[in-house]
Amino acid sequence: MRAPLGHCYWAVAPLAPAPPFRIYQEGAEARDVAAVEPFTEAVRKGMSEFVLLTPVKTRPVLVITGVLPEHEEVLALRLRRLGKLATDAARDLVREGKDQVLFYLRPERFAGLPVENAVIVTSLLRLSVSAIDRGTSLGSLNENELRMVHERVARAHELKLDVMIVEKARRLLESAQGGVAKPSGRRPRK
Amino acid sequence: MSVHFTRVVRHSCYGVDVPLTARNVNGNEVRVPDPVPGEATVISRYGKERAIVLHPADFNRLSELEQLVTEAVTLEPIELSEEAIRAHVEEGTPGEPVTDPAVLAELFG
Repeated sequence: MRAPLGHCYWAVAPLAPAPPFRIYQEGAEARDVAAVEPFTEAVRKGMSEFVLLTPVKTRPVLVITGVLPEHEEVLALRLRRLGKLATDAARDLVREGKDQVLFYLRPERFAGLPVENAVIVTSLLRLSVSAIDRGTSLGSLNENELRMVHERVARAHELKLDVMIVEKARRLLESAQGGVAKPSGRRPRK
Repeated sequence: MSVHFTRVVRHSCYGVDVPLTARNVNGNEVRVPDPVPGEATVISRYGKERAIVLHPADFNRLSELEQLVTEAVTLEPIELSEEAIRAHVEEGTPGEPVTDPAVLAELFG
């Protein structure tokens, strides 16, 4: 697997901002704003950018895309330690691949992770590559596993891929057949 | 020619997501070449395709294939276990952030 795609790294990952929003103020205590509406009101007054104090956590993440060269960003997923699951039965379901959201990371391929983990396929993050410590890979998926994670992410977020797949299948069929055969010239009327 | 077909979604060079429906026309009102199974009769005018006449069996087959493909590529919704929901919420919830200036100075200089 070509890094960082499919690899696990330590990263500084933000948590999604949610109320109360803590706004940084120069030379003063942070100000709490309880809801989103005051921000939209501020836009009407021509002010839309603020510095928010957002919690971040240094954590291992699984990178599931290549780097977009124009943007230097990737999509990644959070991990869940199997030790945090409530029961042995739940852990076994994850190990057997029967939990559709918690995708098991096989310890033999993730030697950099000290304990067993699963990827949470609903926890999509967009990260700058500069927020990822790419010096050491903690392990990586194989092609097939990455394909399964992609499929589950698409299903979890109900991505509409049907038209794209049908169109691609149609183009492949046409190219395999050398284009659609069409009659030439006028046909005699029956 | 009063054949009833179910509605399907057509994806083609004539436009994506164009629903393909059957319009019933009495055979006495139009003159069309006799459709033969396995053959598409292209009716053109001024060098442009105006219509294509298909045998009902072929049209049915195409419609069924189209539905089959559309169903095949429609993603099944994912099943959320209680553990998965709990994992998502807990891993997305802030814990106890380090805010002590002395500790931060020791960590980051």
